[in-house]
Amino acid sequence: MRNHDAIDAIAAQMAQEESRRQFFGRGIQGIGALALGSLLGQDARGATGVKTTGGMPGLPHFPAKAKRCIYLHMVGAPPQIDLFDYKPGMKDYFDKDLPESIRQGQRLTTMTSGQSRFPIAPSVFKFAQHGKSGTWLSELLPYTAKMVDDIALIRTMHTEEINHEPAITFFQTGNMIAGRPCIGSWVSYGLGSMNSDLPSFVVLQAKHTHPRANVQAISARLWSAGFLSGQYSGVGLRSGGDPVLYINNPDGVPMEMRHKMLDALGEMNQQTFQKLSDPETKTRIAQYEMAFRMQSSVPELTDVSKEPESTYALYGEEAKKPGTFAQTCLMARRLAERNVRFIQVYHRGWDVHGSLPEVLPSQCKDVDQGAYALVQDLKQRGMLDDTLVIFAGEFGRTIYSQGKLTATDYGRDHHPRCFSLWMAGGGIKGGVVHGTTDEFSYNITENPVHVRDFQATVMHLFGIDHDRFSYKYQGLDVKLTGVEKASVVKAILA
Amino acid sequence: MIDRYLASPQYGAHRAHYWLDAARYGDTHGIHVDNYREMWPYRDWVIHAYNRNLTFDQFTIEQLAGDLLPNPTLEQRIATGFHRNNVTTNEAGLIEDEYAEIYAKDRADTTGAVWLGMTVGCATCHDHKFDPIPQKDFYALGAYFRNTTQRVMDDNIPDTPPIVLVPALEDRERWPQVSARLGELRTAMAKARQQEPAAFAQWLTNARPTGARPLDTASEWFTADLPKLAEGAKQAKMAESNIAGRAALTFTENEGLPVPSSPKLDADQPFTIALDFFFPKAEQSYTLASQQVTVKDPVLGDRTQGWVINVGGRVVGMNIWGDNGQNIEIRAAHLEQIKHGTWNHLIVTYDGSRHQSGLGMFLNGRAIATQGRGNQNVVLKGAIALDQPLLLGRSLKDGAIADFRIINRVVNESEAYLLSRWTAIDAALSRQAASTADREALLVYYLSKQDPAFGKLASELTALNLEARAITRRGAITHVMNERMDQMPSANILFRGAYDQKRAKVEAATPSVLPPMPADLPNNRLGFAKWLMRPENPMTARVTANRMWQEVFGIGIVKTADDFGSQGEPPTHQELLDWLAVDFRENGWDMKRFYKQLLMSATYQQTAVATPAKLAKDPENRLLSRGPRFRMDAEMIRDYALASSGLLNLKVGGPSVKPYQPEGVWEAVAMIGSNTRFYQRDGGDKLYRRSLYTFIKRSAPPASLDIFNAPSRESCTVRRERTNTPLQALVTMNDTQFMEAARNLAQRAYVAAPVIDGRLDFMTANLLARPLDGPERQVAIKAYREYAAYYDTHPSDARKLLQVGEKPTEKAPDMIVSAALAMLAHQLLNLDEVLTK
Repeated sequence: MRNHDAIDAIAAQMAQEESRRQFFGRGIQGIGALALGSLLGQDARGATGVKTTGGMPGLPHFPAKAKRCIYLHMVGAPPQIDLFDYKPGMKDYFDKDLPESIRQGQRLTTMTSGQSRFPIAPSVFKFAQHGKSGTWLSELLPYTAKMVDDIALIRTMHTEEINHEPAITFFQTGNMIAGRPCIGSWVSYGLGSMNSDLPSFVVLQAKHTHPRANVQAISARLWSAGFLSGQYSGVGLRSGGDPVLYINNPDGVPMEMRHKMLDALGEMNQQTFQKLSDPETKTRIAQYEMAFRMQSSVPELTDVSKEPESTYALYGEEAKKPGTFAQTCLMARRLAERNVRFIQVYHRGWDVHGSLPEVLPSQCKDVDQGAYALVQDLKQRGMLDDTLVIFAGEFGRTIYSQGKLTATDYGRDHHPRCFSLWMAGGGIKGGVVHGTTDEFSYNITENPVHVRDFQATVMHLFGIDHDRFSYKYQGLDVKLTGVEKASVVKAILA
Repeated sequence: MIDRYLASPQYGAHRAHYWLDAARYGDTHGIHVDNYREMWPYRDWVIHAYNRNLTFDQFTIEQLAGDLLPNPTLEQRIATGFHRNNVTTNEAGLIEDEYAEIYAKDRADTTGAVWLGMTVGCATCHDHKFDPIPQKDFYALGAYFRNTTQRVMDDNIPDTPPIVLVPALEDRERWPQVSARLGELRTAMAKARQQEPAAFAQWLTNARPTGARPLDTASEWFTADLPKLAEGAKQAKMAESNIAGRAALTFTENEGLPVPSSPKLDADQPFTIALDFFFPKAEQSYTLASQQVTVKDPVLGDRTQGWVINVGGRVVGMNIWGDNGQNIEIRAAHLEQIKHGTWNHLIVTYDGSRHQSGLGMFLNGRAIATQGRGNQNVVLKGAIALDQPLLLGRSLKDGAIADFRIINRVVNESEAYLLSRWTAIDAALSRQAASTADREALLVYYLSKQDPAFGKLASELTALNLEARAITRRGAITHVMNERMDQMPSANILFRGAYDQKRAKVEAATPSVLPPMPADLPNNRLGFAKWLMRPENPMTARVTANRMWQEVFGIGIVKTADDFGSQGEPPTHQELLDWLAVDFRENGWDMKRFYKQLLMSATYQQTAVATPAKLAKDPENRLLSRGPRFRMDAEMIRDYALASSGLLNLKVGGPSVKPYQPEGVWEAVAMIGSNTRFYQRDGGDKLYRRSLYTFIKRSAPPASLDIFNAPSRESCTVRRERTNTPLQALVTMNDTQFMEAARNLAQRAYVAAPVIDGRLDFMTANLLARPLDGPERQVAIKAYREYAAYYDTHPSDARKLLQVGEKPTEKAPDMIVSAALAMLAHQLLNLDEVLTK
């Protein structure tokens, strides 16, 4: 069932040895770099000559457009009606009931299913057209507005899930119940790592600023490798404390001593290997060296002191504060530069059940400039072509108000039947607006995109046919996109 | 030697960590808010079950159906926590049917994986051509586990019913007596209320003086004179109400009405506050009564002191703050939400213990479920009493208060009932004519005041309630199964597994591919558990023997320990497995005997050396060509470091502990309101408990264990992964726990021998059970000299190193030597040979 795992392990080990020779500068017998390259099938993987370790034989299925992905997830579900899905006609419907012909008895969360009426709350925010594409966007996203021609906006996302926990889990893993691998793990497992000093899948969390924002939970299961090997789980890169858990030496142990200790440890482990010939010992020696390389490279990664002022002109002064979304985006760029394959960012506080006009501007201000700067920065560096950027939530929000509706105040409940997200770079066509919803932003009228279709599209950009990429688990060939049909959204491909 | 290990209490602790993976034991609910769940008595049950060598058939029956055994013992009920370990939710807005299905599926999947070696969940949506479990069987199996009194929403409380109280050892004998006597008293008092004494009717017609009180004068501490308070007040007035036709203090503004000369409540003083109030609007929060100040503190920030009784989210509650700003709180459970536009009577009792568990609540005369025990470690510090007057209705616009009393002790159920009906009783007494609705209340009043026998029962009840509360505080709660007796277990088949696509109803049944359940067994969990252990059942013994083999050899005879079906891997040694299974069953499911047999086997005791020939033919050692050699489990790695350093605390059982963990692991994922948002590390010897006692927050499992593949315990795991990653190296190199262990091992070596050679021998004897050979020794000593040379020139680093971890380094004559030895110990602790079994 998993023959390739053994091959993986050997290949990874050889790659480690190869770089160890470079690093430690001592000659350990191993296979030559040339042979290594061919063993890894490097030619098939990339034209840029980035070395890849691990990954599945036969992948990618076809040349990849995206080598890396930066996935910005807005936890809590941003309201599409106030940001992306312009519905000018709604102002005439203020406080009128949502017509039953639109709702069609659809299931609601138990937070509003008891409401006696469903009064329509038009967005209080102004919309305008931007760019050559003339894309309509809310005034809350002035920076995003400047790059509408770089992004593809999908307005017709839909899902089955109506609560956060299952909906995010579904977005990330293709199943509402925890236990399946997430997208980042699938990609790392399938395509391997392009960096021998850092994990191939990194997770970052950005702070939100509004004190009364309604915050939803996330959990380690969202970046878990599920039934794939744990080595494909996301590794947290943190803005406080140790940037990577346990990366810093204990007090009184400088790097110089760590190096001495690892040399001696490696030698003794080598002696053990000579006695017992357990390949796991060999792997362990390599992993300690990888750990040391991480210890050396993580400080360099997180040290932003050499970033020029122009960086902060682009990302904003907020990017100087650890943990802000802007700083997280900057860190995501630095990770992408180092060829970390999958970078997952979470920003919370989007669950605007109430006080939306007060909270939403703050949430948008948190993320707008950072997301814009990230895309522009990647573009300037020539990396946008092969780096996919995603900006999404887990579902949408209702046109009707949850709780009391006034001219200046309203809230919105969860809405799975339509919502918006955008993607950029990595094989995505810019300036595209995909799909249309009805005048209430309630139902999709044209070109629906299911979460599965989104997942299939991400896989496609990585050169993977989602239908042919599975893992045998409990007797089933499990795919990220599950058993139901999923289609690549061709209209947004470059 | 093997017998000694099997007899040690640590045997059970070790075995338990495997079983707890299968049982998906954790210390939080798992989904969404992921609050604390009090469940550790179940974990301790597992440890003790192994230690007293409970046979596997009994072990099974008690965990799956202990509650259905005749006259189940407390232990047998605790055991049923097995199927209360599944993750649960309280996310607002969810649809309960959907989660009822998810819970049932989890229990069916877990049972299937643990006892049947079958992945029954594959059949959730539809039949599969080659799968022995059709869809109907999946729902029929799940039916056994969903016929429960448990609600879907866990209420975010630590003690979601059904639960049992597990008294502390010193209370084990007394507790059944107290609870039995409480039952008797309540029955006797209820009976008295159903039989009107002959004199009652006569008494009813008698004229009475005004000024009656619900309780005795000695107990009634304070009664608010509402009409007097309203005089001249602009924020409230006496107005007609629909409560007993009486006027009530009605608030016209959100501004409290001060109550002059009200009593000062304090932390060591028991009290009961009782009030009748009108709740105007569902979506608004109200402060009913309070006595509180904000104390400005320029250093620590502002803090609150005093108390407040309020309604928020339609739930009543009370908070009490001591003078260090910490508060204890009682809040009605979610299912006790009150309706707006109604009168409600609230009683909060406090026993003067300073503990959160010293609070109790009655709503409309009835003791109600409250939001559990919260953070049990919180204790009130200092005083709560203030000079500020008590305020009624600080924010209660459009609401009203009809009665407000403070009593100087904890009231019992009968008194609570009287208080809750007092407005009506008082009105009836003064009218001198009772309506039928008041008659029962008047009878209770009559009995309390006029019937000495009833009074005796009532005062015994008061005393026993207090004792029960104290026992509860000393004890623990654990979650158990409780069968619904009003229906037989059944389920609906769901079209494509969708909760809202209910199809045919099926009775609970065992999978049709296996021998049927005999007719003499009851068709419930108990019958199912007994059926599992029947000799004709081919799966249980094989699956269990295989799992035990896997624990010892690192890999099962059937590698897919959770899947013996056609989709799993075939056994490498079919006959061996068959023999082991039969042997296990025929020897009375004796687990200690079985483990001993494996450990004594020539297969286990052969050398672990892998020759090139063996590696080529048998790379994974599936053919058992050599002795088992595999990286230890997460818990063992940490425990081994602690044990070899002499730090390990061998205490068995008790609440979970929180050892070292990097900052921010919990906060990074937690909800703001979660009571497991901030990781408050324990100190002292709790840092050195065995790892199976480490608190498991399921949405952010213990970081160092997680990295070594310890499952998050969100679902059943019968086969752990065993990866070999750089992050693992970072843990054993940099986790405070491991460096502290190294430091302590070095300290012991320092004392044990005068020179480096002897010290090295001491350390390797502890870690490897052997001295190093020549070449190894050379490397180790050379490294030690390098360490010493470094610390000699960097004494401040030596000092820092010797301060890693909480346990102080005892005064060492030579700091440089100690630091260099600590580094050497640290190096040895990271050896492949140490990390590998």
